[in-house]
Amino acid sequence: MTWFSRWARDPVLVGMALLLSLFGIAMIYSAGVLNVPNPVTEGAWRRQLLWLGVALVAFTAVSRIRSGWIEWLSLPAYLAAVVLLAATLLIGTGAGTAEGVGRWLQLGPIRFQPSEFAKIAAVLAVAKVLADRQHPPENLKDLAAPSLLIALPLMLVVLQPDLGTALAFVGILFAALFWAGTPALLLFLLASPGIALILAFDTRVWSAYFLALAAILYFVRYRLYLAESFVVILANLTAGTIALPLWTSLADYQRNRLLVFLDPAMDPRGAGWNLIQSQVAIGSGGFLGKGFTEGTQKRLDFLPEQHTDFIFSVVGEELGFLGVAVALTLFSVLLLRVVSAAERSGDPFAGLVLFGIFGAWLVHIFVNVGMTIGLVPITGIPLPFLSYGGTFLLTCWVMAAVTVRLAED
Amino acid sequence: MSAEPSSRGSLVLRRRFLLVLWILAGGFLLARAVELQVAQGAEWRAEADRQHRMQGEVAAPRGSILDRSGVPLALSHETFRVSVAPQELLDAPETARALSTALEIPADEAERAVASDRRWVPLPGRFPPAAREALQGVRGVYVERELRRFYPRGTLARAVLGSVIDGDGAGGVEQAFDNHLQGIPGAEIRARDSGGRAIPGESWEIEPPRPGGEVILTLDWDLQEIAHEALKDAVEANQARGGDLIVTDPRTGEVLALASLSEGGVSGLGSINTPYEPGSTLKPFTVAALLELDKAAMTDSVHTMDGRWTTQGRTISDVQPVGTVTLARALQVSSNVGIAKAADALTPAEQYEMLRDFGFGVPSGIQLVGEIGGALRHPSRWSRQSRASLAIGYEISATPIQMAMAYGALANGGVLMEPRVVRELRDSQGGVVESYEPRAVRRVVSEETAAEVNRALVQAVEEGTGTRAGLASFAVAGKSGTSRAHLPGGGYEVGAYYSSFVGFFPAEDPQLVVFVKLDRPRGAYYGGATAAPVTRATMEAVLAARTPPLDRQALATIARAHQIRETPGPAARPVAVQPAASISAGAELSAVGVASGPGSIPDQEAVHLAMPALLQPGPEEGGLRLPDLQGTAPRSAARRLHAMGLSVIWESAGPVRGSEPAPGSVVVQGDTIRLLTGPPGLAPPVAEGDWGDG
Repeated sequence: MTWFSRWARDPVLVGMALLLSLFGIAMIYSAGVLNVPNPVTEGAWRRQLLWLGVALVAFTAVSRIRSGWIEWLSLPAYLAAVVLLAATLLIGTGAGTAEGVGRWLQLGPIRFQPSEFAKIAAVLAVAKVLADRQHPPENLKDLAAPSLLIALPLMLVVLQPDLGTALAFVGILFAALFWAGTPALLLFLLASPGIALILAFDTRVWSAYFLALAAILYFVRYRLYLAESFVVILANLTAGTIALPLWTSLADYQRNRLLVFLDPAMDPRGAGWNLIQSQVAIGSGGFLGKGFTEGTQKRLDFLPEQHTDFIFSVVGEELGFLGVAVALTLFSVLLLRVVSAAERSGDPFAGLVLFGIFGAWLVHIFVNVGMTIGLVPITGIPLPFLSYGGTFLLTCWVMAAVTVRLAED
Repeated sequence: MSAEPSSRGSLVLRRRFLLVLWILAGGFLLARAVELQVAQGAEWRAEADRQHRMQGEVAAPRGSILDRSGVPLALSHETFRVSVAPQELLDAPETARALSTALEIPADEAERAVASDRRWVPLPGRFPPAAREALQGVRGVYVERELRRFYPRGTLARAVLGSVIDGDGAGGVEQAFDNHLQGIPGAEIRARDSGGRAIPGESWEIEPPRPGGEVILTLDWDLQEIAHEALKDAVEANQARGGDLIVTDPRTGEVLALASLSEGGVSGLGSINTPYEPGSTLKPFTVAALLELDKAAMTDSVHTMDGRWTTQGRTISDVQPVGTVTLARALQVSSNVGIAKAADALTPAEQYEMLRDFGFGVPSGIQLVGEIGGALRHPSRWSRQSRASLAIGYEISATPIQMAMAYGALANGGVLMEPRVVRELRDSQGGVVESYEPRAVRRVVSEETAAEVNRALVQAVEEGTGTRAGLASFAVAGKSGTSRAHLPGGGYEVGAYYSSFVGFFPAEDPQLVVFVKLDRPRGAYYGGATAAPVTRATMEAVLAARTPPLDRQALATIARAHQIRETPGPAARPVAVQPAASISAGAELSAVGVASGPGSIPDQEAVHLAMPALLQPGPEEGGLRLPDLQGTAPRSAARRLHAMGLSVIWESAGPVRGSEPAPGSVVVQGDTIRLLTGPPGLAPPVAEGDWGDG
C-alpha cells in the first residue's frame, strides 16, 4: 500500500474518491441493464471508465504541481472560466439526456461542461480574494467583492439554464465566507434576500419574516452602518416584490418542479414523475435491496435519468438501505477528510480553497440525494464521483487533487 | 461574534459547526432513507408492484371433442415458443448446448442464437411442453405458452365441430358448448414497462387455469367418414351442386353422421339451417295421418283418374297414370293424385296438427347453433290449394334433420325423438358432468299406424326389384322424393330439383335412418335414381364398417329369419341384370328388373336401391377378384372393398401391405377381407389434421 499512499498523498481521501468512482461505474453499468433497450445508457459505464482513467491522470498531475502555482493561477483561471461560460451561451450544445440545454462546449472530439471547470475557478478566486484580506470580513461591504465574484459565473450558469450547478456556487461562497471568519449575522444578512424570495410565496409569512428581520436589524444597529441596514431592507423588499414576476418568468418545467415538490400528485405522469418514481424505486428497495442489476423500476423504464442525476435511486433500489448507508458513509469520510485537511493547513488560501470544495460537494450531495428521496425539489444536479458525466468526474478528481496538494503545505 | 481568523479556538469552533452542519444534513438524508426504505418499504414495494405488474389471464386448454367411441375430433395442443436474450446469458456455450438438447435443434442454430448481437432472438417453430420443463430456470431463455386448436381428423366434420376464433367457439359444437369447452382461465402476474407494454418472459403464475371439459358426440367417426365420402361421390357423380346426408338412430334420436356439402364442395350445416320443399318424401306422413285418424285404410281404393286431377283450380298429375290402386300402392308408386285425393278426407286442422306433431315447422331442438325451423303455415293462412299441396309435400319447408327425425318416428313405432349430436359432457378428469339421455318429444302415431306405413315403405323399396340381397338380407324401408328447387327470390327454378331419399333398416326393427338429399343433380334427377343408391351405399358401408353403432345381435336374428324365409343362394349373390325392355320414357329410373315384378309400374318415385358394384359381374361366375391394395390407406382400401360388398377388418392406421386372402384371389360378396397393415406412423395423423384458429 505504500505506493498507493505515495501516489495518493492522502490515502484516506483518495481512497474514498476511488471507491466512490468504482461504485459509480458499477451502478452506471447496472443502469444500462434494462428490459427496455436504451442505447444511451447501455455503454455509459465504459465511457465513464475511460473518463476515470483521464481523471486519475489529471489527479496525478495536479496533485504534484506547486501550490504557489495554484494560487497564482486562480484569477486567470477565473477569467477563463467566465469567458467559456459566456461562450456556452452563444455556441453551447446539449448532450445525452440533457439534449435541450446548451451546457456543453464542443472542442473537436471532446465535449466538456465549462460550468464544472468554473466551479474550481470560482473556489480558487474566492479563496484568493478572501485570503488577501488581513482581517475577516466585518461588514457587508467586505462581502461585496467575493459575492460579486461568485455572482458573475452563477448568473451565467443560471442563464444556461442550470439551476443545480448555480446552487453549488452558493455553497462555495458561503463555505468560504464562513471559513474566512465572517460573522454569522453577516452571512444571514447576505442570505436574507434569498430567504425573502422563497418566503414571498405567502404574503403573511413574508410579512412576519420581514418584521423579524427589521427587529434583528434594530437590535444589532450598533454593529452596522446605517447604509448597510438600509441596503438589507431594500434588498429584502425588492426580493419580496420581484418574487412574483420572477416566478412567472421561470420556464414551465422549472416552475412545475417546484410545484410538484409541494404536491407530487399534481402531475404524476408529467412533472411529478421523476420525484415519485425515484421514491418508489428507493422505497421499494427496502432494507436489503432487490439485488445488483435487478431493480424492477429501473429495468422497466420507470426510473428517469437513471445513470446521471438519479444514479442514487438505482443504489437505493438495488442495494437497499444498506447501499444508501454505505454511500453516505463514504461521502461522510470524504467530507470529514476535507475538513481535517483544511484544519491542518496553516495557509489561509489553502484553507479557504478546501472549504470552498467542501461547500460545493456538500451542496451537490445534499441536494442530489435529497431530491432522490423527496427531501428537496428536483434540480438537475449530479452526485459527485457516482453520476455519469465525464467533465463532472474529472472536476471532482481535480478538486480532490487540489485538496490533497494544498493540505500538504 | 467577531472572530479572530488566526485564533485556534475559533477555527475549531467553525470546524465543529461545519461538522455539525454535515451531520445534520447527512442525518437528515439518512433519516429520510430509513423512513422510505425501512418504515415505508412495504408500501413503496406495493406501489412499485402496482406500477410494473399487471394481472393477466392464462388461457385454459380447451376441452376435447370426441366421437361416440372416444375418437378425438378436436384437441387443444399446448405448444411453446422459445426466445433467447443473449445479453442475459451467464454461460453462452452451456446455454446453447441446453437449447440444442432440449429443443432438438441443430447445435449451430442454438449457437447462432446465443451469439447474436440482438437483445431478443425468437427461435423458429413451436416446441412441446417438455421443452418448457427442460428450460425452466435457464437464465436468458424465455418460454411462452401458446394454445392451439387441432382437428386431428381434418376438415371432414368441421361444420358440425365448428371452429375457434380468438378462443371463442364459432359455429357448430365449438360454439354451442363453448361454456363447457372453454374452461376457466388462470391468472398470472406480468411485468410491464412504464409504457404499459408487457415484458416477454417476465411472468409468474398465481392461479393455474382450469382446463375445459370434454364433449362426447353422438357422431360415429367411421360413419361420418362413410357418409361424407358417399355424399361427395354422389355429388360428383350426379354433378349436383351440393347435398346432405344424415344418419340417425331412430330409437334414441342420436345423430350418427351429419354431412352437408354446399356449392364448391364446402361442408356446411345445411342439414339444420337450409329448409327445402320435401315433396314426395312427405307423403308417408299424410298417409300416417289418414290411418291414425281412421280416415282411410291401406286397403282403401283410390282412383287416380288418368294421372291428372284438377282440384280447386289446380291440376295435380302423375308421371305415369296408375289407374285405381290401394292407398298402400299409391304410396309405393308415389302417386300424387292418389295421395292428394285421399288427403281430402282430412280437415285442414288435422292435416296441420299431424304435420306439426311430426316436428315440422318448429326447430327440432338439435344441440347446435343456427337451426332453422322451416315453414308450416297455420291453416288460417292456407289457400284453397294448400291441402292438396301439403299432402304431397309442397307449401311446406323442412330441414333434412326434421325429415330424418320424422322418419325416425315412423321407424321407431310412432314416437318423435329430439335429435342429439352431443351425448355427454365430461370434466377434464373424465367425470360425467351431464348426460343427454334420449328424449321423446311426443307420440305422434300409434305403433300400428307406424307399422302399417313401414310395411308400405318396405314395399316401396322392394317392389319389383329383387335386389334386396345388396343389403345382405336386410329389408329396407324408404321413400324417395323429387321436388323443385326454389329461386332465391321466390318461384321455382326451371329444371332444378332436389332429389332425396329417406330410408331405414332393418325394416323389422330399424336401427338406422339414412337421409340423403342432392341439390340440383344433373341428368337423372329423380330421387329414386340419384339419392337412393347413396342410401344403399351408405347402409352397405355401415354394415361393413369396423365398429358400427349397430346392435349386431338383433341384426343377426333378423338376418337368420330372412334366410329361413327367403330362397338361399342366388339372392345373396351378385346378379347381372339387363335393363328391361319394358322401361318407359322415364328411363332414368333404371328400373332394374321391373319385369319380374308383376304389375309394377315405373313411377317417378319408384325406388331401386341398386348398387353399381353389385351390377358388375365378377371375373368368374359369382366371384369377385380381390384388387391389389398395397400402399393405400386402410380406410380408402376398405371403402373400395365395401363397395364390392365385402366386409373388412384391419388393425392399425398404417398403410396396407397386403390382404388375406391375397390380392387376386376370387372372393364372393359377404366375405370378410383382412387387411394387413403396417405400423401406424405418427399418430395422430398430423399431416391430415387441421389446425384451428385458436
